[in-house]
Amino acid sequence: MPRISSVEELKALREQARRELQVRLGTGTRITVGLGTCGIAAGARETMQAILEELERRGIEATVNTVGCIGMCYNEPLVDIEQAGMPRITYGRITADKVPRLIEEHLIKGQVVAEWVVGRMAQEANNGPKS
Amino acid sequence: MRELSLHLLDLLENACEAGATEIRVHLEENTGQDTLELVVVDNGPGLPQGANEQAFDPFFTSRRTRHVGLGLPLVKQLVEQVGGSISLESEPGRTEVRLRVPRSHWDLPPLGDIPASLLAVLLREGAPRLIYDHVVDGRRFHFDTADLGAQLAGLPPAHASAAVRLREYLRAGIASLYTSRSSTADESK
Repeated sequence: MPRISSVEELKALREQARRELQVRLGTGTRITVGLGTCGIAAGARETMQAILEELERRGIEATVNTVGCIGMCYNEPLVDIEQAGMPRITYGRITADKVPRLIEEHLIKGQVVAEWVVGRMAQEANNGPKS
Repeated sequence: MRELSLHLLDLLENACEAGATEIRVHLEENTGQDTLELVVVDNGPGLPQGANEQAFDPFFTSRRTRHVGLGLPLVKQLVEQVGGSISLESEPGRTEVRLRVPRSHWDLPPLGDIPASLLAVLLREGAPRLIYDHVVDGRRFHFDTADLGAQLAGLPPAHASAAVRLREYLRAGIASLYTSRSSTADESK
């Protein structure tokens, strides 16, 4: 990170961060939660609820979708986050108590929570046609 | 699973995965007769011919991606544990799962968060039409996604704030069934 040597530089940096945050949040954030039998048994419905609560509490515009089992049952509950300008990230074992940190770090700060990642799809692949 | 509503969600997910575009749920509780009946009917393609009995086998699934299907076996296990009955009828265009259990049985898990289970299905991409009827001692709450517009103010259900609003609407409607007054969501319309 560049060294900040004046208040003006700090303000400019803050403005840039604010713009980046607006772009991330305003350009189609989509969160997908796996809700097959495996996900349901692992607490995915509660994870879905926690995500909705956290988004509502923070006033974040986002779409929340549910899907069936994708075959990674041992990592349930699975949460997938897609945002413009970022790779699509799949997080594993996201129980409801982990949701505030996930939203804070991934959506607000734009930082992937590396220790919970179980899959990553490059941005180019992410923008391709969906089956 | 620790709630009946999680089993319901599992049945609804099965219907969605099978390609149903319309699902009807009827949940009826009768405290006098001490019964709880749950019926889930979908218009999906149905099980392969002769597979109705196999559907309760955990190592049978109509899906091709894996070789187990635990949703129905888990429901059956629960129903048998509390001395209830379960049936499955399936033909092209109509599959019905019907279970009946003693409502106050010691081993019956609580109904749980039904609104969350319904919402989870409505958040699917291309969610089916969901028609939900819940009756408690004659009091009735009726919900149909075809009538959703007013509750969501034009937003799609998958929009986070719309989803929260929808969940609160469902919670209020179902909670009204358990109040001593016989007001229902239908009557308030």
